[in-house]
Amino acid sequence: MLPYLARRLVSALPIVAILAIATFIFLRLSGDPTAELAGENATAERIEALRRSLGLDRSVATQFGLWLGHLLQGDLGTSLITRQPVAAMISERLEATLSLALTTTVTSVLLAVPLGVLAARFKGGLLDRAITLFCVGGFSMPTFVAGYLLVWLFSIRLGWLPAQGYISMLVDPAEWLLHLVAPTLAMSTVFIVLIARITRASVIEVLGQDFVRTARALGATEVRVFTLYALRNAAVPIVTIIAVGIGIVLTGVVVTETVFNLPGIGRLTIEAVLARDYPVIQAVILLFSLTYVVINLAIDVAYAALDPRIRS
Amino acid sequence: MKKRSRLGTIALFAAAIMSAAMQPARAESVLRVAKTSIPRILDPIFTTSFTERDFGYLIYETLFAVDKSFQVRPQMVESWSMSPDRLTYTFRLRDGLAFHDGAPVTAADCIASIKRWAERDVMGQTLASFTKEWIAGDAKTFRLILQQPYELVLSSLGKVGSSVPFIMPERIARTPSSEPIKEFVGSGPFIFDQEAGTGVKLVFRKNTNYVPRSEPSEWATGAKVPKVDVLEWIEFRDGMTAVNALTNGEIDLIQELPHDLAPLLESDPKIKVMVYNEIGQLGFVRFNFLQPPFNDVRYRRAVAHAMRQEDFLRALVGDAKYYKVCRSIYSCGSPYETDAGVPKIDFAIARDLLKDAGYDGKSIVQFMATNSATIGPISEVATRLLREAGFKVEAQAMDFQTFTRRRLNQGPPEQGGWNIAFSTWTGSDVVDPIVNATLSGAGQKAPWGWPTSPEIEALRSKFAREPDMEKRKEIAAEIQRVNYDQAIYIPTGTFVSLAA
Repeated sequence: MLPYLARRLVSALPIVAILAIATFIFLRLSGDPTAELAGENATAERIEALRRSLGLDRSVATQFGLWLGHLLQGDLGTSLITRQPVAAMISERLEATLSLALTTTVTSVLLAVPLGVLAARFKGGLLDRAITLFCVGGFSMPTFVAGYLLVWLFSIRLGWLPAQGYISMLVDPAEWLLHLVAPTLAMSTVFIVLIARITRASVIEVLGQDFVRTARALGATEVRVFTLYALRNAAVPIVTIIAVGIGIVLTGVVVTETVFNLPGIGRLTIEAVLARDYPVIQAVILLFSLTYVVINLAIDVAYAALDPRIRS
Repeated sequence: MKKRSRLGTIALFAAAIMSAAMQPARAESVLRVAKTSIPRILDPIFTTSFTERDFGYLIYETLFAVDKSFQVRPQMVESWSMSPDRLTYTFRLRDGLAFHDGAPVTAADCIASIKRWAERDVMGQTLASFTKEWIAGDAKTFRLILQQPYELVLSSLGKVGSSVPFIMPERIARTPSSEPIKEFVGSGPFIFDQEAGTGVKLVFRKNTNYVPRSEPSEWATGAKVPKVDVLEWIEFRDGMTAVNALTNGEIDLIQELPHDLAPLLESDPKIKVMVYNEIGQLGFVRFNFLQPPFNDVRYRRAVAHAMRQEDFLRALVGDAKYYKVCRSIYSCGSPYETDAGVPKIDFAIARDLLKDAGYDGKSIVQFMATNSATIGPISEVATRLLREAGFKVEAQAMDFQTFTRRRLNQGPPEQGGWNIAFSTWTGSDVVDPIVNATLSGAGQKAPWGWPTSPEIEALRSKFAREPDMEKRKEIAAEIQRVNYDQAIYIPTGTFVSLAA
């Protein structure tokens, strides 16, 4: 298993490197923050002076070399806007995003897999149709619409949940969870649909295979048939869609963080992009790239664990 | 504040109730304010952003300030005098002024702060051009020696709007004006608690050592008495989320309520929608004077005849009680407001002017900052009005940051340049001909657009030296006449800002 993992990891590194270089170059081509920083009435001389003081007058190659040198020493740089260390800015925002990604993934898997199995078990029946209807509705609803509807119902009308904001898990775990209920539900909608549909299709496919018929003929209970035979053999596509979904959650977190005013990485990314805060954008993209690499590795490990043939 | 009911929820929610019940009673009063964006540079001298200015007003003080009738009044200054030859101003600081680190505010702090501000701000630069020297007397007294009389000394030191001359400790004010400051110590009514904030929240604590003035508070003047122990600025990028939070009692105030969301709150008896910035904001047209066709005054005049303010204001604000059609180039309601030289809105005249100028139908390039809540709608309306006037318009949409960069391109549109663009000011930024940088006719030294008008510059200089208020008003009116004749700066209407 370890050589297999090492091979996968090494093959992913060039992708991260290419992404980092491309981000660096394209960001420079899109302009820098000096014009806005210098103010409404700034003259060209003042803007140029600011560009010099920020080191943005150097060649792209020189800037890249400096950035890479710092990066190799574990220094992500300093924000051009706030002048704070980028690592500190990211770590401050990481908890909210990771919390949301975690609760969304757990909620989605816990709800979607049973829904998919039930739909497969009662294929063509009323329950299957009801789940399909939910899936169509859920998939059609944008996250921000679901978010506003949840806030209107659970916060404004019923008063059960906070309408916005985030409390750190370390400060108050119960409030942490309460503040994540509505954003999690809003983000889970699409995720649940994706997993439930794939689970349904995969389980139906497995249920039609000979070994399941044989298991039933040998007297295995329905619970045993579904958990031990059907679900396990249907797991590879389900694991794949869960991993893909985590990627979607991470990229879609911007909207949810805005609607629920969560201080996460998504909002930091948007703020940095709008302000052309190069060091922050570069660090966030690097972080996301590495996250995808880790997710892909996790999928590979899961595949190998679920299906020994893949390892070979 | 509306309490959240958690009855009937699962055990997890019950745990939250217990957790909340076990919290000690909050001893200090907290005001939670929703802001569209919170300051990040934290240097109101370095940047002209209004949110940075608001930050400045919380933690810093100014030597002078302006009341709601635009009268300049002493703030940190206890008394001041002017020599008979009008060349020497002597200022004495009032008792009890101290920075948040406990150090007393001294004359040296004031001089260093004003010098740094004067390097960045247009009005400060004008003051600096008249200044011979600043001299510190004793710890609380300092003098300004002028090279020639300048009648806007107090207006400059009491400037409101963007880039306010806030007073900082000398060691901080010595930071080069090309770099932002790194330490945030003022002498104002609130102390910035840098440790308590997050990337989306700033926290300020009441300055218990602050000695307010005895006069009642009026606009930026008078007593500044903190009525809460803690002030929190919380960033809400989405206006609807802020409205939900206010409705649910999770915040106490929305400082910048989008006009289109006001009706949602106006019907709620528990919430008050109010005007928080009566002097308002205004949009304006900016031409690129260096490139055809707007290097020809006839084309600029054609645009001036087509900028119908109602169209802009209806699109931007909607409700007529929150906007005002006012074509003065100075803040509406300010002492210099005038209708001198205002051209008639008439699209037939505009089309005739284009015909006389021999317009060949070539597209003019209009830059649009579409992600700006104010510049975006103004630009869209402008495109329609320009087309109605007979222009062929190529509207180029971009984000605000790209807009601020690309508008500095002096080249022709084929090389990434532009012909016409729109932006906004607050009313306090255009209150007179000196503070209004958009009126500058200094060519390459003028802000983006680079208009050249020796006549305007001469009148602005005359205005700055005129001691008599009535005569200053006449000069201001003459400047407006010249401005409209040369079509330099055309306002697109004034609208107030809302809070709830």
